[in-house]
Amino acid sequence: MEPDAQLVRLCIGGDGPSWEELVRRHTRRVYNLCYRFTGNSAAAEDLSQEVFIRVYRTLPSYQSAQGAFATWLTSVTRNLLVDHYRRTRRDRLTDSIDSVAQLEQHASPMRAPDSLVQAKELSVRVQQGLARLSPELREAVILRDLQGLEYAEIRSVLQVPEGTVKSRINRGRIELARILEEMGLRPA
Amino acid sequence: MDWDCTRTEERLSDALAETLGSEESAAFQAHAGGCERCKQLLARVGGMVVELHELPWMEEPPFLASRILALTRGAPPEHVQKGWLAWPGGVWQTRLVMGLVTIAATALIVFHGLSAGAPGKLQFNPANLYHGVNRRAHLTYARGVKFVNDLRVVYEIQSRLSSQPEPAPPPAPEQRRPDSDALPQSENNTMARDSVVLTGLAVLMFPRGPQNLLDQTSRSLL
Repeated sequence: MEPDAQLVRLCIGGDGPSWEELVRRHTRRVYNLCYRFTGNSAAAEDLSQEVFIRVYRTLPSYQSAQGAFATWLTSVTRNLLVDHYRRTRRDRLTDSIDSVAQLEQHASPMRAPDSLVQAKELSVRVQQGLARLSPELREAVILRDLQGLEYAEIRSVLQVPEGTVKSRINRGRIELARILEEMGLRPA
Repeated sequence: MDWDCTRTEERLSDALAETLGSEESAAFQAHAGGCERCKQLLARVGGMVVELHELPWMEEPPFLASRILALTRGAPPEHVQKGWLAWPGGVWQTRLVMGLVTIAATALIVFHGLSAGAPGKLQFNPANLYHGVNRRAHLTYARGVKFVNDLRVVYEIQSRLSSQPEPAPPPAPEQRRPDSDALPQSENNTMARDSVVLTGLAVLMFPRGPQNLLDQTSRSLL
């Protein structure tokens, strides 16, 4: 049994420290997924909290035989992100300029080493590029290239055939590479 | 096997992951070797994918995990109730019950302390509310005082009657008369005592009844 599944079993049995361990272990993964999808740190923070509250309520419904806990957690996160995307569709049309400005503020940290600055710069550019992708292509690229999920896991999260997953990843990568090139970012 | 630029785009991920079959791989290599567009696409997307994989994860805000733990508090619920009986578990929380009790108490004070008519806007005026509650409190106090006074009167009469000496047995009657005055004295006294007690009880049960009824009865007996 994988360590996460063991923790989940203990949690369902009423073990508080196991729940704490589970939260601390996966907070960064969930936050990154939310941030990459929304491009907004405050929204990502709120959504991360929502994700764990939902997980807290539905943890007994997790079946380890159906897949890894991380995949199940990613599914829960993705469903919430889709809900959030639909809910905020109208708002995004009005404040897209603000979010770009916010991203650029993140891009220039003071007194940071050069490599760190470059990594942050790249991270911001990638985020801007992702924001220009359609949601379907964006989530496929994020799950594959930023979250490091396998095709089968992505198929499980997105509930689409593996061929569709591959196709979306392909098109998303080509589109993102084109956008980044337009933004003046060329691979090293 | 024929291979063209469209096919390169379709199988780009497999080509980058080197998961193409041997025949496909040979066809792809043959095409990409002579096609500048496919070569550039492969280099551009391949480089980007490497960079994305190497991109470090962003640090979550400080205390995010702590906030999540504070929101969830302890371990998750052990059992998830299912079916139509599941809903009361979520409803009957302490906060909700306390809220319901508070609302009920407030409604009782407000509406019981006001006039019996339908609640209008004026009845929610703080001055009217205070007046109503104040009036209700005074009425309750007055009723209590009256009840205690009535009880005191009844017990006083009872105690006086019981302290009276038993009369001597009457001489044997010469001739029985048909009217009620012909009853023996002791029986007459018992009936009078019972009537006083019953009158007192009636007064207690009907506090707005004639008070002087009790007074007259008790005076005639004493």
